[in-house]
Amino acid sequence: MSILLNRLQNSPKIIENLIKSTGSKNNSTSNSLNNSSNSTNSTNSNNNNNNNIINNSSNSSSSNGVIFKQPIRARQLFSFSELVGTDLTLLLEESIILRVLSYFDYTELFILKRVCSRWKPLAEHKSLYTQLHMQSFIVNCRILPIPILRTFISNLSMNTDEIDAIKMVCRDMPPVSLPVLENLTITSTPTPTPTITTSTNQLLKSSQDDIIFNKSHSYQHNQHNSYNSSNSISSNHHANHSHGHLRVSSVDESYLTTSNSSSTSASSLQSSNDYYSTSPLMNGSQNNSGSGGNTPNAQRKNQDKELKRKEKQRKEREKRMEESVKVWNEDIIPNWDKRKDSKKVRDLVFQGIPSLVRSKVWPLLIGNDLNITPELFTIFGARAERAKQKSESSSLGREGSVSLIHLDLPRTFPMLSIFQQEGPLHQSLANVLEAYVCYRPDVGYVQGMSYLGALFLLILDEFTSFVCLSNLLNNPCYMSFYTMNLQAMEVYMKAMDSLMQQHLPKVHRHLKDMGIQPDVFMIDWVLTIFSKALPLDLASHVWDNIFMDGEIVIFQTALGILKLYSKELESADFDVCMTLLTHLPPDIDDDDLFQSISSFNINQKNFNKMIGKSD
Amino acid sequence: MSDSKSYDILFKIVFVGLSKVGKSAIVSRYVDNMFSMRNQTIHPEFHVRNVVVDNIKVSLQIWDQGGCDRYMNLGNLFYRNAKGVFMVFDICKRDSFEYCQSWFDTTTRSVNKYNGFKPEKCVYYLIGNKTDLALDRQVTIEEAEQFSKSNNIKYLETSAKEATGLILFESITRDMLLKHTEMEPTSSISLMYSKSNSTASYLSTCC
Repeated sequence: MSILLNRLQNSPKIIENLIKSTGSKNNSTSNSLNNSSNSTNSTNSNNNNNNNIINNSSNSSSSNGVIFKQPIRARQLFSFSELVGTDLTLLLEESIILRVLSYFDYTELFILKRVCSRWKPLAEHKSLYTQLHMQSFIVNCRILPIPILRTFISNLSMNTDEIDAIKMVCRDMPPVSLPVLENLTITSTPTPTPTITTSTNQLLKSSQDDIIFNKSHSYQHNQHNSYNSSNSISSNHHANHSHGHLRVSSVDESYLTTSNSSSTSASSLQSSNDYYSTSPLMNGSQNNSGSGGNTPNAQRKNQDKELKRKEKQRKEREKRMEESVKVWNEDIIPNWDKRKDSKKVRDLVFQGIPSLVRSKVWPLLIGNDLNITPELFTIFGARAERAKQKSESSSLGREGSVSLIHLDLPRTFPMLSIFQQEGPLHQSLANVLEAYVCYRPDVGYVQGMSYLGALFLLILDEFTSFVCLSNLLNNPCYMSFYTMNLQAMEVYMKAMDSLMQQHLPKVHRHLKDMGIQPDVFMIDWVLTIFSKALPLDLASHVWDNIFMDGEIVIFQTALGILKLYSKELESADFDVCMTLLTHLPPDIDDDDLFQSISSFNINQKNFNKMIGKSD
Repeated sequence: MSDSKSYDILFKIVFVGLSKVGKSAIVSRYVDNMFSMRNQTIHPEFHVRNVVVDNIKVSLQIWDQGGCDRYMNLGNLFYRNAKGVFMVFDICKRDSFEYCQSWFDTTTRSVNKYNGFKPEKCVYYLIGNKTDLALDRQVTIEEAEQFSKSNNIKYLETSAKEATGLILFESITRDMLLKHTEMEPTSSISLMYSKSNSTASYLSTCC
């Protein structure tokens, strides 16, 4: 079979035959296994479907024998309703499906992987992303920020039936975005060999576009607080209209308004989750100034400018990262003990550890003071199995909380669909958390832990994740939060309060006047170490620094975030501040945040004094 | 705080209940009219909804807390000034109902302790969620009603998935208004609470 496949490399036509033959083979096996004519019939029809797929894909590949990845609209290949509930793909060998998948464009792969659990790992297979320069991005960290995913899907202009059909098969499909603007349309340009440089641009552009929508939505979201302009009323009406179900007409409508006069219309499409909730007041003021002469065109130009600047920044950052990979691999990691305290390492960590080497650097930074061995991990795994079977009352500690873990797994980064029941890392995350609960029955499982375990698992393997999680949490700061020790937490809250007073006096006063105490946002931020509040790539960048410098970075980051939104937090009313603090906008920029963070130089000694730690 | 007050009265409503009973689902169904697989709630989620009841503009601050039992320690922040409490349980999970029962004590005590006002000023609702899964029902309506009756609180059943029973927000708003006028008869807000309980037509929501 493998020889055959090799020969097939350049000739899609043969694959077709191969599939046919495999199909008939399957046919015969199913015949012999099952004499009922019904089953044979269904298998036949399935084979027909398979052939259809292959026919289409081979047509699309070029005739000169080189495999091109031409964009094929997924809907030309099969109707989703045919696919739902069939065992169509079970008849094919994985290698064949992989071959078939290799004809698809990246955008389509992202749809395909959401079709069923069997296709998912296949559509994520390394070999399909060979031409992707940022392979590490997809394969190594598997962290896909939601705007990117949404862009992929939105580029596949689907009709409502198809959207509904996909919704049936995957419960957490990101809200489908609107058809893409002319000048942003990307995928339709048939590039034989798509490279990431072009697609990154596209992504950037489109995700930027999304953000505009988000903002306008959230503007609307908070608008109810002041029943002022007629604009808001109409957009409210609009939003109500299109809530819940996607309706093409309303989609187009809101889309048009959005593109014409950015923030007055409300695209309620994305209201489903907390990524989009908050509105910096900024949007409101933008809107006001817009009515005062700022034409939509000018706004548009500004947005474009901003977009280009961000794009440039991101490119520079990526380039820096790429260059630093070499330094990490050849110099720092082999000589870790000597290098770890050098200024160079500190600088490199501050700019962010490249995701390629994170898997090596994180364990080094965190260390293993607890001396956890693989055996220990296995032992606690076994103990967790036993704890699951035993009734809760029999255990002395909080081992019983293992039963809570499975409730939270699917709710951990649900948009990634990696930790769902059928997701690739579901069991791993369960193993890590269960082992931890049995390792520290005094702590038990507390909500928030699954986020930590999950982000470790996105980067590290199971055992290393366990080591890192255990060692990280073995720290008075996290411990007091996870055990909800109010007295100990109070110390950290007071520290945060006085840091705010010292560095952001205006914000501090305004929040205090409104009765918003640091615990409103700090509890969530500390428990999940920003992994829930910030976009994943940004959160892992914060983690890099936390592993380097300890919990002081949490407070620095918190101050950085507050400073970033200080304009709103100094004047906005209670509802806006609360919403902002509990749902940070999804468009926080990496460079902006870290610039803001670096502006706070907290003296480690003073900080230790604040939290009552003797050095 | 805000100079241009866009509402006449503000109520804080908190959600309590075991993990995974659907607290956030009810909230997001009400606030965004969405039902989706969500993140787990850590602490706390905050939502605002403005409603108009009998010409009174009411701002509902909805606080939603993670169901993890450890979070109960955080009562202080959470219950401060709460005027309405939803105790949510999953009708298919007996333990979540029992937890609500045992929790009622703790909750009233916390509200008492942190609020500085008497617990009877606060409106409690017992909510049985997930009626769409009624086939697996483990808690009967009778026993839930019995518990709520003996504690003089209201019991409602909802399904966040099928968007049924969301009348609970309207209902609790009316009850809170009523309680508010009882407690502070001198209040500047004149309440014309209509005794005729024809429900939905009276309540218009706006985003």
